[in-house]
Amino acid sequence: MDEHIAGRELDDQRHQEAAGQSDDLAALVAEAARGDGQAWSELIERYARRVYALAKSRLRDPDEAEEVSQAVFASVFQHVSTGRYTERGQFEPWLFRIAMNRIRDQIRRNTRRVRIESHTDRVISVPSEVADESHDLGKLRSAIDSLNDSDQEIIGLRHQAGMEFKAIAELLNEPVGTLLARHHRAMHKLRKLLGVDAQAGVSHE
Amino acid sequence: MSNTTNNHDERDTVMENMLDLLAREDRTEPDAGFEDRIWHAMHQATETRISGRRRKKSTAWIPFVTAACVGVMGYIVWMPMINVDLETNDQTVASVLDDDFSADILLSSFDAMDMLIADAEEVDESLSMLELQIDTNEFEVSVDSTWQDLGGSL
Repeated sequence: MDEHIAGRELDDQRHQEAAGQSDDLAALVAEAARGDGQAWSELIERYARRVYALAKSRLRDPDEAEEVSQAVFASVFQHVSTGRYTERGQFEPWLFRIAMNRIRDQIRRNTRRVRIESHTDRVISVPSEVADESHDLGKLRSAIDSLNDSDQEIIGLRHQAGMEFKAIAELLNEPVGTLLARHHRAMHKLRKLLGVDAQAGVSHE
Repeated sequence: MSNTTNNHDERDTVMENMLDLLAREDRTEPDAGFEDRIWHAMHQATETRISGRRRKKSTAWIPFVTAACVGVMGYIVWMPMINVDLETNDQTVASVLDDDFSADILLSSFDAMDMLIADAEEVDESLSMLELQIDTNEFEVSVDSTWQDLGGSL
């Protein structure tokens, strides 16, 4: 029950943060477009690590993730400083769209380099004792890895990038309802893979 | 039913907390210089782009000068050849002239035909006159030749 309340509080906090950020984000981007270094520093402060986390969740390689993060910000800087980006309150979806494209390019490059065996939706053996709050995050990482691209995408954008569903909907051009369903499905798969259901002693319908 | 929903919510919360924990770990993974490196890469990319632009500007004259040189070379090489062809009546030029000439003849013969058709009666008369004259001449020639033959034989 405490976990449930903590989760709600986390959601509320995330929502408030997002709302507050969107208010001043447009002004911040406008200042950055005028060449204000402080504004750029703040944008980097706010988004660089989120982009990195998203890249890391998909690429698994810290160096590649940092490389992608640098490429994303170089691209954003060029677009904003040359006036090719017009602020319409969609800076965040736009930035993460660039990030997703860069990540996809990198995945394609890596796939060309090494043909990795596809293991979409494969059930991995995870001992049930690891599936509690303090557990081994490596297992969770492995479980995410075993999801298909679509599920990894929604999990990455929602949790690693810390985006609101509305912003994800703008990014992927999909209705919020569809994304909620996708997220729910991905979570269900993760629970199954990690044995959270078994541990909780609840049978699925 | 509500119990099942609560269980679902609880498990989702557990999962979300785990995922948030994972995200937090990923975000704190890069060292303190991470932002500086991003900043540096951002500006470096722009500088590279600007220097690339400048290099393009400095070489912008090359295609224009090349095109001008090709034009001048073409003028120098081709113009004398055209003059020689006209003066020496090159085959190509001659064939063109022949065609023109034959075309002129054709046109003039058409004119003559028109005139002839217009004066059809006169033509008929002149033709019959010509036939008569030819017949007479042939007779005279044949008579002359007979006497000449006779004289020769005598």
